[in-house]
Amino acid sequence: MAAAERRERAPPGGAHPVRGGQDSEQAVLRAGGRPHPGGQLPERPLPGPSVPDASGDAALPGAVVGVAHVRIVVATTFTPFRVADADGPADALADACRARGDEVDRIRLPWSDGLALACRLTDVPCDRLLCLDPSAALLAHPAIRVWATGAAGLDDERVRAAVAAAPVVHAATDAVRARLAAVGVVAGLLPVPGDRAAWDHTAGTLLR
Amino acid sequence: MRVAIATAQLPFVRGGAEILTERLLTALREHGAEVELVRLPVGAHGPDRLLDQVLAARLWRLDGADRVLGMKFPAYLIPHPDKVLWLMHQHRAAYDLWGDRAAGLPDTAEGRAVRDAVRRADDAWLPEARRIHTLSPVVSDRLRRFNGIASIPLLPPLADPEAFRAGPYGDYVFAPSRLSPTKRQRLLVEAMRHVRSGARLVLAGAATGTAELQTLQAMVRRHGLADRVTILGRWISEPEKVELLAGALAVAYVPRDEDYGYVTLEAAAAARATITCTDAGGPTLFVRDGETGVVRPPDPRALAEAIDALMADRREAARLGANARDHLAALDLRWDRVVEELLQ
Repeated sequence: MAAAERRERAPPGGAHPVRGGQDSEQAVLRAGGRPHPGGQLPERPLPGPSVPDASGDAALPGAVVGVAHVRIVVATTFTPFRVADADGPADALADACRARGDEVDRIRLPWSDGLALACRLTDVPCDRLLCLDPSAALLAHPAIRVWATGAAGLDDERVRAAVAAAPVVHAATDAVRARLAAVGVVAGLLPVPGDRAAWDHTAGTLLR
Repeated sequence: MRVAIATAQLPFVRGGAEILTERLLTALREHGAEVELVRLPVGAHGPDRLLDQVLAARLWRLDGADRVLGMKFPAYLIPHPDKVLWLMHQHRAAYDLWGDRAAGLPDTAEGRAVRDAVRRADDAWLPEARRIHTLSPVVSDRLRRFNGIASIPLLPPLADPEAFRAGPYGDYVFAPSRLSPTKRQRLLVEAMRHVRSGARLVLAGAATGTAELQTLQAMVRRHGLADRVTILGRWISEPEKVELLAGALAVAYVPRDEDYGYVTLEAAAAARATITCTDAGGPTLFVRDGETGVVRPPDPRALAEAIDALMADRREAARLGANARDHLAALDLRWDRVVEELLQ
């Protein structure tokens, strides 16, 4: 489902029956010594890979070279109580990475109006972040890889910017690849594999 | 009824809280609820990032849920009109562990400001919940003391009590727990320097980072305890844990001010006595000295004497273990009751 469609189901303006809102949140959270002028969020450093790259050998930002044990997070977004299209490939990819001997965890981000900002505030401590839908790329990380198994979320300018900022982007189908191209993102084609050996190859491609 | 469990996820970290959450999910489904487990990712709780995590928790929405069950900090702060909390713990570095640098908040101007903001966040938003349950009287007491908020303890049963079995009482004291300074495995290694009997110590658990594992290994080497202390520095499987419990002399569990302490219940289910400390918090709710285990001050020599005494008298170890098992059975902790409370 496209992000625009999902937004239509939310209350107008993201209003919520619970009192509060971002302004009151910031008032509560303002730490005395560190005000956020004008309600702006402070710039933050991105969490880096915990395993250092072998200097000079890494062709891509965050490339993991000469390291046997890599901590990988496979991330997707989902609407609670609905099956997310990306979950199947994400779980299979996580299994394939585990089979390679890496440490793997899954992150599933509940789709919310505040998704972009909440992701901006969230660190994901890992060596490689593999995002299987465009919206998950809102989790900024220096070693991010996007493998778009669908095009949902690309209507959102912030999602497009996040995907465009990823050093490597793959698309699972020609249609998704065309959608990405239409918003100025060049993606390689990496289809969802059909068998176990192919999953190993796909995991290897994403971890390069 | 659509129920969303809102908890926090520090990637690659797994412990009792995760087991409990997954078991709750199963129990809710058995009850007929449609359940979604929402694990909001958090990075390490450094002082410079902590408030961002709290603000992020306030930005997520679970509008499709009829009820949200909030469990871990900061996920329990997620706004929802029908929220019930089963609070595992607050951010303890801002409360009872304030002043303990290892807990993550330094006593600096910034650290104090962050601490105060975390407390204000709890003060302001915990009362949004329709009802607040906690994991144990220890957590309820903290909530009352620091925030003036009343809550009802709701003790979690074991995930799978039938899995445990009692074997012969062996020659090792088993200490299963995440390896961490707050779980105080160092105290147990220190105690082993003073153990005079042939008792051994088996530590089992993953470490958050490698520092604590290396510290413990270095202590073992330095004190020449390699033949008497085994460290399984990894997350052991449930069958492995069951086996290690079944053959232990007793269980040692000596955390500082633990919220609840599944380990004590697991020991009881395997008819093992628990050796714990007077300041251990949750475990002391279950362990009565001389009845269901041994309670000593957090002193290596006192713990060593307790281990030697059980090693010298296996019948006493068996008696305490049997009492512990009976006590656990008498508590009659059941998941269907937990679910009824949380969905009420």
